Amino acid sequence: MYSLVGLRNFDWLIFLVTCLLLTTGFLFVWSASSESFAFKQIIWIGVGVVVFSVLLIVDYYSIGKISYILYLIVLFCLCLVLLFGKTVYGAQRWLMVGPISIQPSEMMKIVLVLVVSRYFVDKKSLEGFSGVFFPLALTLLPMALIMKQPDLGTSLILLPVLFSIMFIAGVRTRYMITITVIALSTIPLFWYFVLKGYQKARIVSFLWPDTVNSWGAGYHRMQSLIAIGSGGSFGSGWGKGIQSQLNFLPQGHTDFIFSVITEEWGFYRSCALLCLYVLFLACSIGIAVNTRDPYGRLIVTGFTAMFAAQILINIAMTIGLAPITGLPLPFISYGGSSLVTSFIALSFIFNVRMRNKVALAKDGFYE
Amino acid sequence: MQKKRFKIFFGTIAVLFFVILCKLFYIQMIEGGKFSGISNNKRIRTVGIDTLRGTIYDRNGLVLAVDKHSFELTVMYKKLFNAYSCFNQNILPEVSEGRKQGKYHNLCSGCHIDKVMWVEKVAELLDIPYTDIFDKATKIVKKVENIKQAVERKNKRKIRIREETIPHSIASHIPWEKVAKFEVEMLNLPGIQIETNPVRWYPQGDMSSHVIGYVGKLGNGEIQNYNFKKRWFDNLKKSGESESEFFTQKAISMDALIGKSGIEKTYNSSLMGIPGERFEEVTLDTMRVDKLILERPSIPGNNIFLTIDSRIQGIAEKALGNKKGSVIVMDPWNGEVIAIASFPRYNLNTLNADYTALSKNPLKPFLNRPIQSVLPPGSTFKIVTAIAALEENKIDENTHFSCYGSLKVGNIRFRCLTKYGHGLLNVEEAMQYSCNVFFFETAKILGGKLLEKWAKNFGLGNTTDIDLAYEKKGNIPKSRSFSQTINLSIGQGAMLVTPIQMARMIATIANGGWHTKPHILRKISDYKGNTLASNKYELTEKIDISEKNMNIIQHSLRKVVTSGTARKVGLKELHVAGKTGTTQTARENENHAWFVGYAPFEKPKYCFVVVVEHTEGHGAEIAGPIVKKLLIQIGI
Repeated sequence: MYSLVGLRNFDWLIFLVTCLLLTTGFLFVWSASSESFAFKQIIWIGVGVVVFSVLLIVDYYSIGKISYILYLIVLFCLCLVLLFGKTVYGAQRWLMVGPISIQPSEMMKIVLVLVVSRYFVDKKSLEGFSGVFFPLALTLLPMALIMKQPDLGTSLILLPVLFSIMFIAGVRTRYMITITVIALSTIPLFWYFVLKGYQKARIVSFLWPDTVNSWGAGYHRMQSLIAIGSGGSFGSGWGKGIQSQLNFLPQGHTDFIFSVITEEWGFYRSCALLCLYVLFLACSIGIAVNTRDPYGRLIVTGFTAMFAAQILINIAMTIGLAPITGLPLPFISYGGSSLVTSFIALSFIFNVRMRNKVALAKDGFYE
Repeated sequence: MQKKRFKIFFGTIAVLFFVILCKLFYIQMIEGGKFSGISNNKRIRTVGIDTLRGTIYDRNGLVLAVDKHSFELTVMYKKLFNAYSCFNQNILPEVSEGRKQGKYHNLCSGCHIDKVMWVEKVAELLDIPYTDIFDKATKIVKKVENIKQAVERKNKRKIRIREETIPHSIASHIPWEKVAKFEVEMLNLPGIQIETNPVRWYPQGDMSSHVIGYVGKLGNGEIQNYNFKKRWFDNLKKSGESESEFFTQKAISMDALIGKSGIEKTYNSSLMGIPGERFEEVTLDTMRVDKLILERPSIPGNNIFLTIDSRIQGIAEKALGNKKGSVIVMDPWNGEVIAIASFPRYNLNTLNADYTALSKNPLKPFLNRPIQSVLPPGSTFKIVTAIAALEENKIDENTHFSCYGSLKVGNIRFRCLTKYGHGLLNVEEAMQYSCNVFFFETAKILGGKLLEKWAKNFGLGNTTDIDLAYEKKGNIPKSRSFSQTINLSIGQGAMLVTPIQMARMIATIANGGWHTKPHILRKISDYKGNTLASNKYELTEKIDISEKNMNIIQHSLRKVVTSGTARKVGLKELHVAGKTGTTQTARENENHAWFVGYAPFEKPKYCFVVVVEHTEGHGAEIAGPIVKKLLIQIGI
């Protein structure tokens, strides 16, 4: 199981795309903040690559076997965060283990994909509504915990992940529609009991931009739109964006990095960036389609959905199509835990691709 | 079926990406002109809005320090630059001369006249010669050009720096009448504005100046170490405005005023408000404000209420007069410092002008003596020695030692106050007459270790953690030799304490053995008047002293006043109990005169410490009358 035999199946196309994305990220973290942040980004990429390589050696199937245990551990960590977590920017998201701070909500995204896929693979028949409840519970529990931190963005990412795995696993469309309807009907409850004042303000400012005058609620949206709009077709050039260089745009190197890219690179090159992302997603879906192992297929689907949701929500937020939630852009935004998480997910995708041919062969078959 | 579902899955993602692409196309290519218009021709300018620093009140609500508005005349940099260049070409006198005589001057075609006309107008309105304004303009332009050059050198390209787009102040402290005149003329003077600027003002002048402290800008070294974020989160927790979290860096600008000493320093984070910001759209060539985009109002700082009572503080300062030293009056039951006087002082309102003279003054006016001057406690330390010996059962109230005027230990002869000795006396009488020999004998039995332990029990030689900056620690030395122990027993030698430590010690005696923590903060309230925090200290920790021994000490302290060393001062009628102390200094004929005590002795209301440093007389003669003046005027 620790064989490196699959290396011949290494997917160079996704690898190349990822490298391009990382380079773009490095350039614009530099542009939007400073050299020191860019340097730290390089260090995090290094850490990510190490994690990526180490995970590549291990067979994803053997990790899948212990996925329930991993799930419980991360769930426990999420509870710990609420009790002892470090508070940064008003949210309690980090768990301090010695000098390292861990963000269990990021780990949850990975583990949820593993555990829900495991469930659907083990399940013999998908007939009946009851089969859907368990994975739903598996998702809602961590969602509630993450929402409590509060981290609305990350907790909402779990939903598309669950749905796409369910969809590909073959759950009846009827059931999924029923769940969606029930979920939508609970929205008023959320509005009154769960959402915090600033979150409501963000949603209101998104739905009715003209009504909001209060400081802050509409500020991000407006600055981001000005930044993107002033980019035009070719942009103002790297390091010359007025909005980002003069610090009008808050969080330029993390959540709003796409605005910086569009301002400085213009429409055509940001289109190219979007195409890179589509290519990335298409390739990973290709891996899911081509693999013979049902478990591998489901986890690749889950991770693809995770990436897709993050990319889409982040960009939609910067261009004013979605309310503002703090989600990073995978492989581009500055930030250690999001980079490492992305690398872990990427590693699983590669893992499935590398082992799909030997899935049915015994260990040592090739030796 | 799965193939189909994968197609739907990818299809959904593709459609969503397409939607995003369309929106991006719409913003960048179709609406793009609108937005790039905003960021190219018109520049959005951020203007900081000053906030008010919190007010400091005394316990009765009398204002000790407050931010007062002062009016300032600001001029756009572009105008200053024009004036500067005209002035340098020496064309100004002719132009203005020409205008005065009503002639049209051909020399520099119209434009120059308009460009410097504002100078004449402003000079006329302010009633100052216009050369002053040019001097000011030259100074500002040179400064800004310097910064610009430095920035450009660093970035190796042409840069428009922030200083070029903002107004600069050319005159401050403009009186009301002139401001009114300006308001009328304002429309004819584009680019010139009257702005209000907060200035710290101390209505009480030099009263309790050390406690209030002063404010100043951050030094170069401090800027790097200043924890900007920490302060921000303090406020965030209280107001719950998570949205503002993104403006962390701007919370304190480089030239914000920071508390440098006293209360201003200790509670700086509470006192500082959060500056506001205004986003204006300006046209680049005229620098005129087109539109106000956003305004985040500033939040004034929190107000601080002190435990200081200005009336008593005034009395204490007057009673101390111009003797170098300190007076502390404290409530022994909760540690509230009611007055804390130090001499010499400085006047906070004129501090900037006096600074050089003050810092050269040999009396060191910047020293906050009650917490910063470390002195040997002298005979006042005998209280501790007596308690230690009684509590450790080395002596009791009936133990008598005889005093023959001196005690010889080894080769050294330790002297008592009187040449002929006090004869046979017990602990009460020894305290009463401040007999050294009795305490030498006690120290012999007690030993240095226990003495040190009890001094530490009372918190001597350790900071009291009073909420004032730069408190000194003092020192309780480890006794290495027998003669050293003997010296320590009467508070001489290397033992050093601050007056506030003595105040805490005597408070413990006055309240029957409870630890107190001297403090000056009473409560903090926000600018709307809601109390955010109040400092209520309760006595919780007790030093283990038996009631009987405490009684002995309290009675002997009373006897000091009625028939002991301080009997001639006339404190008997004021119900005082206390102990005098005279500490020899290295110099001949120079003592520190101490008086620690409390009143009324039946049910103590105040405890006090009076120290006069480097004086000629004894404790009772010098410090005694100060106590008398103090208590008579407070009214006990």
